[in-house]
Amino acid sequence: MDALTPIGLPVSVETAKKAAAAALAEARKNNWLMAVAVVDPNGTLVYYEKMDNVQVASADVCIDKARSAALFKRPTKALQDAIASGGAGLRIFALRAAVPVEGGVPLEMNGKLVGAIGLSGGQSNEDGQCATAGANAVKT
Amino acid sequence: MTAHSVVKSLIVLTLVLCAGCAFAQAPAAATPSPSFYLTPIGQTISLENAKKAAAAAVAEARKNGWLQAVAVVSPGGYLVYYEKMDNTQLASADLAIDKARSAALYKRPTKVFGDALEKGGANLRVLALKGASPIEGGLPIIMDGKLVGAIGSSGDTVEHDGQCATAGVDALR
Repeated sequence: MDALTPIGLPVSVETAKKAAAAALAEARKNNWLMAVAVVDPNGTLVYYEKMDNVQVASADVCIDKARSAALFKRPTKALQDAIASGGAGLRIFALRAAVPVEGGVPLEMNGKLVGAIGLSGGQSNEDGQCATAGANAVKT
Repeated sequence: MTAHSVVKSLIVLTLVLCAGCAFAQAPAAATPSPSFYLTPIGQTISLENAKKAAAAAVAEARKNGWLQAVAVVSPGGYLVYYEKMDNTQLASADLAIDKARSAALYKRPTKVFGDALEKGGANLRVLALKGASPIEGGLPIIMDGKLVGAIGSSGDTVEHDGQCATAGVDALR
């Protein structure tokens, strides 16, 4: 996935469910509570579910992460790293819809961006681990 | 749809319509049915039940050849479950959530606000209520006498949206 990756048709709800299921399976395996969102390339919500008792803030945060990953065609971790490096990297804060917290990952199928998945509920590296599991489950 | 579920849907629809009428026809009392306000607020609907409600709403849409986005929220209006059928008009992604949120936060079907608007006059104040959606298709979810969340459905005509939301609520009865 890079700046030249073509933007494809939106991920189907069937595929979105598959990605979300894989992400939550990863969470369950590690005993983490997570909310998961899958959006299309324009950031429109396609699928969402929140495990019982997840911190309520994660309901919105996971959608924001997914949207950021889709709209910027890159994992939210890349934005987090930019901010961690300081200096001009702080400009990320001025980008609308950019979420500089790990846990949002683009979905790639047949070499095209079809959407993104966002996880929230654990430590951000845990969120990222689950999001990656979800993205890998549908990557073709 | 079985005859039984048709009857059930009609009963629910009638109840919803009556609730709307009660609100519409009792301006002198100044308050709508007290049940809206007095319903206790319970624990957030479980993901399992939210999925069950949404699945029923989507099944109702599919049966009729409609496309829908369906959202289930907590009593505080936070999203618990959501899915959007492929090719549903994209505006419905937000509308479904807005309807569900309105039904949860105001403890009443969104159709009640729509009916109020239709009467005009001071009822237009509904448009100024934060988070209120006046579009049929949002219904509170009551379990064991308590509000546990709400469902919102959007994607077709408002009547069809309402029918899908009703099917969702019915699935948890």
